[in-house]
Amino acid sequence: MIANLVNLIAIMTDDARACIVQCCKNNDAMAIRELLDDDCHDIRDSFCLQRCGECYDTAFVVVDGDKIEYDREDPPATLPEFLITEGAR
Amino acid sequence: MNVLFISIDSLSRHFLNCYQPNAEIDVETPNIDAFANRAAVFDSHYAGSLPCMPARREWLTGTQEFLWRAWGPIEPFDSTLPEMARRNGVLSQLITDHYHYFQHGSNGYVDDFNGFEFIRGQEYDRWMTHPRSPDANFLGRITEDAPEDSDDINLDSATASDEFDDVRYMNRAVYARNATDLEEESDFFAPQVFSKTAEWLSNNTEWPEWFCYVDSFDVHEPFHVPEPYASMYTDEDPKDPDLPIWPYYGRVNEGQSQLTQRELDFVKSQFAGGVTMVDKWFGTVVDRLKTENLWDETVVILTSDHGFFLGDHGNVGKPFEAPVFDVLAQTPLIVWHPESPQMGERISELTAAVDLYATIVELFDSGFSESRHSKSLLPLLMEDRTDHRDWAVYGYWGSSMNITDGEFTYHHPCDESMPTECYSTTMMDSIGWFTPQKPKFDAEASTDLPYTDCPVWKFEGPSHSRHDEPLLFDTEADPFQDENLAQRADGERNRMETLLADALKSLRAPQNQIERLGLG
Repeated sequence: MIANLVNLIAIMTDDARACIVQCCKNNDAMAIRELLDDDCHDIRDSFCLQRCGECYDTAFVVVDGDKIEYDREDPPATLPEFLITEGAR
Repeated sequence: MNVLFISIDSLSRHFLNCYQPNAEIDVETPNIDAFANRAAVFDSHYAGSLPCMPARREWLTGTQEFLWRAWGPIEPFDSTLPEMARRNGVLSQLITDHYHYFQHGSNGYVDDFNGFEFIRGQEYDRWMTHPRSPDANFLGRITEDAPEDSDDINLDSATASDEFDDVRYMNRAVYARNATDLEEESDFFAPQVFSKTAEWLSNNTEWPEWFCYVDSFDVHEPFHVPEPYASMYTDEDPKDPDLPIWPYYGRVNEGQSQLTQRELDFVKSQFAGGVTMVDKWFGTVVDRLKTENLWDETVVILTSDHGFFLGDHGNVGKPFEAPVFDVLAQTPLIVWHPESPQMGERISELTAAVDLYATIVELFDSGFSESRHSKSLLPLLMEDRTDHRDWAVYGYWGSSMNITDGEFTYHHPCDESMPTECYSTTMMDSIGWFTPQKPKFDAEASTDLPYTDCPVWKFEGPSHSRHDEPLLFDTEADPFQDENLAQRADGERNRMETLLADALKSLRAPQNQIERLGLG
């Protein structure tokens, strides 16, 4: 768990790296699809990411295998900056 | 005649010796091998509606539901197998550890049986709630920094929810609590399911006729198996916390489903170990049939709902993005019928999962042979017929459409921009199957279902395509479907597309299906 947390922090703070960002079509993640920087990252739309409980309750994307939740009321302010297209925040 | 129907979930048929070509691992299944030698092995059997609960509605009601709706409950206009058994004076019993029957999205499947036995604790089964903090070993099983001596459930931290005490639905830490007391082999799920089955057979010999439906969740993930099975097909230490037993579905080379070759090999070994474990305990049921003198008065049906990708075509699991290759859709079917002249033979005729419904009802009542979408297999077993089916259609609701004629498979893409209509008396969630329903304010009343006059709700859900272009495979020459012939074999592709259009027409599939597939 600790190692995973460290990895997640690394992902959220390293704005130079290109990531695989998985969006669940059944989740509000699809609503922020246009915010995501698809020039830098590989954005993948999945029909289901097998996170049904979290999906039911929360908006999220999966970045290089790690789930990142955000506030569906204010995605630009709560998504990690490195994921977002420049100027969208 | 008694009927013992056994489903072994996710049992990819190429892991069984009685089917060729075989998996790269030589999996020991002596009891299924012996059963297959004495019974009839169906060589061209296909799933219909996928995955788990849709397959069960096919078996239990004879409905190819994926053309009309997604994973959901028994409908009021369904006549289930246990209900048909009751009408014919036949006792019915369900023995299962398949917790989806008791989860959001799938009610009504259990209610018609005279009795049912439910073994608790598989996968996300909402069972054990204590201890809040699983003990150190179990916590270790879901963390990467597990202690060296932690016991063996290697649920990678990336596969758990954020925290072990996150009470939202589907937290994988639930399994760590459920599995706390799994110590001896006999504590595990398949051993319990098959032991309960053997016990039930012995305790119910006074009943003149029965239908016993055994639904084993194994060999479904998580691939948690005891020794000796955990070490049977790997040189790795099965307790190594770096090795996963519960992979996410998806591509093996990216994202949350990414696996190294070492991890993938380990997952395969644990799947194979599960198959051997299930085989052993299946054997105890066959033995009990014989010792209780039931063998000569019982039809035994052994099958599975679907297979499981273990690196096949670059996938693991049953991802929504993967075409429905035969690894998933071509399922094992082995039938023992004490009065059939086909015992010890192979049956090459194309058959479909939905046909098991009419087969079993015909065994209850000799005047019955077809219903809704189901056609009895008894003529194949009793009369050596060769005219059973020209096609079988299969797939997931809202997705691409698949058809086989027993020689070729054809996979037709759908237009993702067009929603798919869903028909049900409930406001089922067509995607989030396992979570509570939400009201659908756009639902309309409809009497469009071709197999009932009962009005239902009609509402739209999103479509998802698994491939952009048509796929065509010659499954006799290319059983693992490596070579897409769709561009090179126009004649065959056109023939299969026409066959698909005709099949959908004969099933009276919704016009919306025809349009989203561009087959109008």
